[in-house]
Amino acid sequence: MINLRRLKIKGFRAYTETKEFNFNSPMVLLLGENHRGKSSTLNAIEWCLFGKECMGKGTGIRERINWEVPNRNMKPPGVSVILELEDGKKRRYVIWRTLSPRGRGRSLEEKLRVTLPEGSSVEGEEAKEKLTQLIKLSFRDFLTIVYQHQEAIRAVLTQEPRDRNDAIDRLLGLSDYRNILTGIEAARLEKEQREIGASFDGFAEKVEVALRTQRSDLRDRVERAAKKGVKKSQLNEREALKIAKDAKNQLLQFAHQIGLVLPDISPPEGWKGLLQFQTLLEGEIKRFRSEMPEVKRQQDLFRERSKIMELREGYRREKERGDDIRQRFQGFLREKGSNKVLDGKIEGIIEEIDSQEKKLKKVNARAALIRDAIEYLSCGVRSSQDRCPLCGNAAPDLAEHLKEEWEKRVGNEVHKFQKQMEDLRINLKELKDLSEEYGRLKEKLKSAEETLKEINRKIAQALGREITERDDPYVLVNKKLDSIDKELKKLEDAVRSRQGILDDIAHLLDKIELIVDILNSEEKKRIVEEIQASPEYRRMEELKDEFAILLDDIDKIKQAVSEISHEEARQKVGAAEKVIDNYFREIASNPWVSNIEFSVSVDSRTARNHYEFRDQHGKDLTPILSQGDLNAMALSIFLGMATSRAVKESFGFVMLDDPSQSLGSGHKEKLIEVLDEVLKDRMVVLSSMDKELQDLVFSKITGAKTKYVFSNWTPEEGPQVREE
Amino acid sequence: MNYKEGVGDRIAGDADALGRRKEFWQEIVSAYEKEGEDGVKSILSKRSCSITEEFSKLLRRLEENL
Repeated sequence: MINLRRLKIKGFRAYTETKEFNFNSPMVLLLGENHRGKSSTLNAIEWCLFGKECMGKGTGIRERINWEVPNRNMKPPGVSVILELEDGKKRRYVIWRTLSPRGRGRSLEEKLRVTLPEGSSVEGEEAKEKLTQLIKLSFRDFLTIVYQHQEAIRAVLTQEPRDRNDAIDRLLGLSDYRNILTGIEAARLEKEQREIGASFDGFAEKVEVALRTQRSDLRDRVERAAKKGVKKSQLNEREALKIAKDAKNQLLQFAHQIGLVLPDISPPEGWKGLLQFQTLLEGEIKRFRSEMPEVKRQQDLFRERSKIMELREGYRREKERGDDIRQRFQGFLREKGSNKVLDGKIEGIIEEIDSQEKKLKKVNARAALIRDAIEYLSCGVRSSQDRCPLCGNAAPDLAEHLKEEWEKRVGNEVHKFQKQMEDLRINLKELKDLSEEYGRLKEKLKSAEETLKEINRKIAQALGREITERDDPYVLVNKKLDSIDKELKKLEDAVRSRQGILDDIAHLLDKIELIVDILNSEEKKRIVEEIQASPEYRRMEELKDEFAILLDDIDKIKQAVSEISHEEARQKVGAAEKVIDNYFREIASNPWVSNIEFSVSVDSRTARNHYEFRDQHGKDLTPILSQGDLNAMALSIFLGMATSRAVKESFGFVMLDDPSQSLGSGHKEKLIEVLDEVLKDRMVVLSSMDKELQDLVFSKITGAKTKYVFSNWTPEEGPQVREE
Repeated sequence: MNYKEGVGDRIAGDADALGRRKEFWQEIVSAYEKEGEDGVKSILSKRSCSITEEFSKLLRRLEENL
């Protein structure tokens, strides 16, 4: 068993100046508040033994990531840790591990030297080999059975089962397995495999769908082509190009026949240019259909025919209108007489009206005289009213009498004249209206005759001949229309024949389109088939399989890691179970627990170790354990592993760094009792800031003790340590 | 026997697969010893990336042609 004897530290982490520690007592205490350098002292021992092995991510200790070994205040920088060890045969070994500047650079070089019992020293790889032979344990084993690290206890205190399992794995020295499994899981390769699989399957499905679509399209197109008269033997590029050439030649010949020019459109070299060629030729066919001379002539004749028909309609309409007006005029003359007759009648009536007016004036003059007399009689002296003013004879009620007489005679006469004059005036108005109507009819007749004359002139112009009084324009027009219709009929036959030729050429072009569609479909199908048969596609399949193999390999590795981790855990737990049980019951002193069964199984989901603590009744203890109990559990496992006879016994000491973090007074007392037991087999190096624990150490620990008090720490001088 | 050998000896598989898996395990171990869990993740990701990158490149190319 290896024991500690002496430790000299300079420039390591919290240390600047050289400090020396002697380990001559069974218990060595490093006492002081936080940040005084106690942990650096314990760290110096592990660094001296394991060097880089106790640093970095690989340790599984979070605070060891970016862990800085040299003290920053050392000028020049340099680290020296010297550890004197003694084996079971009392032979002394001195381990020197240093960091010193490499040449003039700022980087530091690590050196290891081992001075052997007989006084000789070895360095470098030889020193490393000697040291490995001496200590026998790996750094991970060292953490399990020698150095109880603070972080290990903190992790056990967690309520999260996964973290607690992780911490117990570490206490059992199995963190490598767990860390490797965590690293494998973090890569999340199953997700990537699913993605690759889904991508490949998705693409393969897309290819299949495309292939089915292209095959179905091709079938449809071949059927359509067959229905349009395209033979199977024509469904190829050579035939399509031949048809294109034929179509062009036929169109050229047609153009020549009708006196039009076909632009220079050459058939393409390959089928891919055929659609463009077809479009150009279709454009020319369309042009020829509208520009061929017969069609032009047809169009002219239609225009002429339409114009003449319009004139014929105009002639007919105006002729009917003129005849109607003429009839009405003649009827008027017959019934009402001519304008001359009407004018004579009007003149007679006017003269009669004048004569009547004169008569009326005379009557009116006499009436005025009588009216004056009546007024005179009405307004004169009362006595004179009953006497005639002319003869002076008595004439009772003369005025009244005169009034009645006037009314009777003059009034009737005036009325009679007035009535006669009114009748004459009505008569006169009727005659004047008739005279006006005569004028209007005459005017209309004249206008109708002029319009007809104008239409006749237009017809003459349209027919290209003169039209005299002796001609019937309607008949002439009809004759002309007959001759146009005859010519149109002839043209229709000619145009039909020409269009037939063009239809045949267009049909050839349709065939080309159908064949090109088929060739296109075939090409698309071929592309998809080529993709499916391509080396790239096969390679993708291989890669998918390679990924599956990779995952299978990883799975088998995981399985091996899990199995070995579990076996090792079971073996260690089995070996130390009794001791752990004793220590836990002793430290925790839980009245409910008389026996603890500490077991390990494999979590089938995570393939990691799963630890269970059950009481004497087989019930899970973790839900009822306090923080102090959990701390006690962590210490029990560590101490159980450290002192178990079943584990390697290369070290004769244990190092505990602040073990009472969450322990109550009772727990602490029990811990001290357990440590007193441990001291029978092992030296105990205990670092603590806990005054209560320190007091308990001095009152309860039976073995001799060396006490180092860490009173102060400054950046320049490092820890102030005194031995008491 | 340390954990490397223990796991190495336990890995199952036929002759071909076994050699490959043991070699892979050695790679995992050396990555772990250098960089811890991240090293393991990194070596696995590197392996998978070499497959997925080639796969994605081929897929892109074939999809363009389709």
